[in-house]
Amino acid sequence: MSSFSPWAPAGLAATSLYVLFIGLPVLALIVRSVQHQGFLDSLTSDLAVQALQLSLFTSAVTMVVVGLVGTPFALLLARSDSLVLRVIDSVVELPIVLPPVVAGVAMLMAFGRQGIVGPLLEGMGLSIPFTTTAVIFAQIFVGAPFYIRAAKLGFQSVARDYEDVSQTLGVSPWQTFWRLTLPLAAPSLLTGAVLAWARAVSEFGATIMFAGNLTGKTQTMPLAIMTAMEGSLGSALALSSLLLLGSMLVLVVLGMITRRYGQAHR
Amino acid sequence: MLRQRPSIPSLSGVRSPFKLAGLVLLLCAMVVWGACMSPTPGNHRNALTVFAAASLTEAFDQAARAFESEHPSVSVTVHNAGSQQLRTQLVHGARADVFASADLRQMVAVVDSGLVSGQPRDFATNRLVAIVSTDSSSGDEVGLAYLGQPGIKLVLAAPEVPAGTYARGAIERLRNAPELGEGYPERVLGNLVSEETNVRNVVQKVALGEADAGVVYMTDVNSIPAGTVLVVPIPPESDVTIQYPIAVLKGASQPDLARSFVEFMVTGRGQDILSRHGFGRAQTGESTR
Repeated sequence: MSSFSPWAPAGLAATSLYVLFIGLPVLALIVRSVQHQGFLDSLTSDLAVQALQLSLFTSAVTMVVVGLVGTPFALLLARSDSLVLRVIDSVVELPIVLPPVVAGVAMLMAFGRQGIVGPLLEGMGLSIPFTTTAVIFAQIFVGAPFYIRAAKLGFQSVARDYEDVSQTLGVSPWQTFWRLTLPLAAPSLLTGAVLAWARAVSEFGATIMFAGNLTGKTQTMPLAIMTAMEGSLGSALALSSLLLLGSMLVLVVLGMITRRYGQAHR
Repeated sequence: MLRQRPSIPSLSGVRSPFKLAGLVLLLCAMVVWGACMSPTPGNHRNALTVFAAASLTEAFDQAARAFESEHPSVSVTVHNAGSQQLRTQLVHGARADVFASADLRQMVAVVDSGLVSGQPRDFATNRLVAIVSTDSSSGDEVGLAYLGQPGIKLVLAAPEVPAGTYARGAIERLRNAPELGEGYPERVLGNLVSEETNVRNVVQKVALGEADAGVVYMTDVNSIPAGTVLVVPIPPESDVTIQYPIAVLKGASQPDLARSFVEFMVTGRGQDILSRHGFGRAQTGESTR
C-alpha cells in the first residue's frame, strides 16, 4: 500500500470535494424543506398525494410489464447466438442513451393521433396520448433496458452445464428454469428491477411530451415538482425531499441485494 | 463453476487502454469545440439579455433584430419561456437585463423580490381565442360549445401560466352565455387532458392534432401552420384584459441599454413590430398594481 502514499493527499482532496459537491445540495434540500413553513401541509397536499399515488401505481404497472416481457427476452438474449438476436441485443440499450425528450417525440410520432399506428389504435377505440397509459408507455420505454441488461448478464452467469445436468436427471426444462436458473440469476434480476424502477419513477421528459401534465392522471412526482416550482417553492421542496427519501431507500435495497449476493458466492 | 459474476449494468465495458485514450481524446475535443463555439459576452459587442413571455417569441425576435440595427454595437439575446418560469429563474438568480411578462402577477412577484429597477410599464395587450384542430372538426362550423362536448381533449396552460389563468377566467365568464348551456365551465374543464408549462406548448399540441382544442392568445395563431387549426373567437364580454408589462431589472449588466430597449418597445419601433404581430396598444404607459 505504501506505493499509494504519494497519491493520498490528492485522493483525499478529490474525495472531499466530490462528497461536498454531491452532499451539499442534498443536505440543502433537506434543510430548506424542513425550514419551509407548512412542510407537513405540503407533504399531505392534494398535489403531493396524487402525484405520489400516480407515480407508485404507474411504476408498479411498468415493473410488472417489464418483468413479464423482459425476463423471457433476456433469457433468449443470454442463450441464443443467432445473428438477429445479437443485432437486437446491441440496440436494446438505445433508450438508455437516448435523451428522454427524444423518446417522447418518438412515441408521439408512433402512438399519437397523427402517429404511424395512432390512427389504427384510435379506430379500435384506444387513445394513448394524455392518458395514464401513456405515462406507463414512457416509463417502460426508458426503464426496461436497465432490467433486460441486468437480467441478461444474470442468466449468462448461470452455467449451461447446470441446466444440462438438471435435464439429464429428468427435470423438465420449465422446472429447471424455475428451480435452478431463476434462483441463481435472481440477484441480478433484482438489481436490474431496482434500477429500472428508479429510472421509471424519475422519468420526466418523455412523459411531459407524450402524456402531458394533469394532476391525478398524468402528473407524476417529477412533473408535480416542476409544476410546483413555478407556483410554490414549499411544495416543490416537500415533493423533492419525498423523492430523495425514496431514492435513498432504493440505494439501501440495492446495497443489501449486492451484499447478500456477494456473501452467497464467496 | 459459476462464470464471472454479473456486474451492475454498464453501457459497455471499456477495457482496452486504447479505447480509454480515445474516449479521453474525444471528450477533450468536445470541450475545446464547446469553448470555441460558446458566445463570449462583452466581447466587443454589448450583450443584452431579454427574458420574454413565450407568446412574445416572434415579436421580440424581430424587435431584437430591429434594436440591433439601431444600435450596431449591441447584441440582443431573447430567452422565451412561460412568464412564471422566467419569474422562477429570475427569483433564483438568473441574470437578465429586461423582463417582459404576459401578466401583471408574475411581474409583481419579480417586483416584490426587489429585482426590478423603476416601474414596470405596460407595452402591449392581447386577446384570447379558442383553437380547434382541423383533424377533430368535420368541416362544420365549430363554436365555443365544442369545447364543452363530452369526450373532446382540451389542453390549457397550467394555472400558474398567464395564459392558463386568463383562459380559466374566460371560461368561467362564459357561464353567463345562455347559448352554451348549463354548467359550461365545468363541462369544459372536465375535458382537460393536460396543463402545459407555456402557451406555445398548448398551440403545438392542438396544431399536431394530438389535442382537439385549446385556449391561446390571438397572436399565437400566427405561429401555427395554415390549415391546421380553426380559430374560434371569444366574445369581448367574456374575454379578459391582457396587459403585458415590461421592466428593467436591477441586476442588469447594461442598465442604460436595457432602458433604451424598454423605451424602444413601449414607444419606439417596437410598437409597430408588436402591432404587426397582432398585439394591441397598451392603454397607459405605466403598469397599474
